[in-house]
Formats: sequence, C-alpha cells, structure tokens
Amino acid sequence: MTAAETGGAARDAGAGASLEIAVRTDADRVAAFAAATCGTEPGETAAVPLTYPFCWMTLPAVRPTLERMIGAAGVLPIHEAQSFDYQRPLALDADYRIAFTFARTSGPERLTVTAAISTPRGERCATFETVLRLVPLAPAPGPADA
Amino acid sequence: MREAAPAAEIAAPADWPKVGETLPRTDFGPFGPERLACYAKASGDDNPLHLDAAVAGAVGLAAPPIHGMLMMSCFEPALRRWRGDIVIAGLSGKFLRPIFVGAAVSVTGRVARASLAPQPELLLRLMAHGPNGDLAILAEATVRLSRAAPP
Repeated sequence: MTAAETGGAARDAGAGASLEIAVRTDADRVAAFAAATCGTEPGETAAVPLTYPFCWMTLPAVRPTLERMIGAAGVLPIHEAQSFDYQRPLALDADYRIAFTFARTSGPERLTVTAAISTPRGERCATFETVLRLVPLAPAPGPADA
Repeated sequence: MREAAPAAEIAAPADWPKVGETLPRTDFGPFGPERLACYAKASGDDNPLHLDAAVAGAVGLAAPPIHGMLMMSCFEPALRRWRGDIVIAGLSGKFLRPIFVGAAVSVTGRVARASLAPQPELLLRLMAHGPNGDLAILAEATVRLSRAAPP
C-alpha cells in the first residue's frame, strides 16, 4: 500500500456497505501485475492493464470491509462474474479515488462489489463490478468420520 | 478505453472487421503453482482456494483452480495482438468452469456486431478455454477504433 492508498471509513447499511479511498497506479506495481498476467518484461508496461483496478479491492484499507461482507469463517468466495467499463484510460503513476459499494443478496448467497474510479477532480474514469458466490466450506471430518 | 478525447467522426480502415470474423487463437500459460503464487502476490488476491489443494478439496475441486481474473487478464493482450488500432471500452465475463493449476489457457473470439457510426465499434464474443476445450470464461468486449490509429 502506498501512502495514497489510505483513508475512507466504511459505512454499513443493512446488507450493504460503502467505502471510498485514494489509490495510485504506481508504475512498479502495475509492472509487477502486467508481468504476472501477461508475462511482460519490466520496462515494457506502457499502460495500466484493463483489469488492474481489481487489485484495489484487496488493499489493506478495503480488505476488512470485504471480509466482513463475505461473512463468517468457513465461507469461501468464488468469483462468478466480472465486468469493466472505461470512460477514459488510467494513467501510470497517477492518483485516483475509488468508491466501493458492497451488497449481499441471498438465494444463493452472493456478494456484489461495485466500484467507481474517478480522478481527484471528480472526473469519472471507469467502473467495475465483481460478483462473488459465497460457498460454505465442507466441515472437517470429525472423529466419527475418520 | 485508451483515450480520453470526446468522440469524433473517424473513418474505419479498409480492413475493419465484419460480423462473423474470428479472432486468431492466442495461447497463454501454462499456469503452474509458481505462476499462481506470483499473480496472488501482484494482485493481492490471495484466496487460498487458488493456492492450497486442501482448501480446493473442501469445496469439491480436484485441485486449485487458476484465478479467474488471471485468465480474464489474458483477453486484453489477445485483443492487442489481433489489432493494434483498437481501444477497449468494456469487458465483461462469466466464470463458467474451473481450470486447474498447471493448465494452459487459449483465448478465441469472433465479431458479433460491427458498426461504423458514430465511430467504428465492435462487439466481440470472447472465450477462454482450458484443456480439452473446457469453456472457462464466456465474455464480451466492446472495442473502438483508436483515433491514434494511422489512416
């Protein structure tokens, strides 16, 4: 996490929550992400990959809210669907704001995370949506099952 | 999308794709455990489902599956290798089947809709396949002609 990737207190509202933080497209981190996904060499990364903003969902400033919305231990999030819509590209080594909304639904249990990315001046750049199916882990075998 | 200027009329090049045109198959991987660990570190997605065989087994999977977002991230380079004159305005996908650690992923696609006005734009149906043709991701992308493209 960079110094900019901080701030924002989560607000809970029933089965939902929201959170807004400052983030940055740090060139080194973007390069590491591009290398891990596309196999690009360091120095080859000229643009922020389309899927890079997904990383911001796991930042330390966001993860507690994400984990609280996923719920109790013993539940595993399974990625069901993902979308990105861009109004303008993200620049390397630039500051942005990202506003998350978390919504739980049931039947079956899902968590939908929507995120809106904008410049510090409020110009909308992109949105993304993540749909996670929440699957209970199988209980560990007890003595009678051994 | 890779440009910020407002839309202006630009002419499509002579080889602008037509409906039904297919994208060449592009292969990625294989994605072994080290590659998944590298992605987990770079992305922050350290869900143990992808890294721990015991956790994968607890939800009935034979092995840890490749991160869906790692496979989805293959669409952008595949599109850029297909055409260097496009910008990607949107990408959405559904993760249909797990592809397990150690496998390679192939990206294919075709043009589902092509329009020329107000600017050249394509709707692409994209697929990411695992071994034996298993369909891992069914996706759509909206791409536009880049105004930075040569005439």
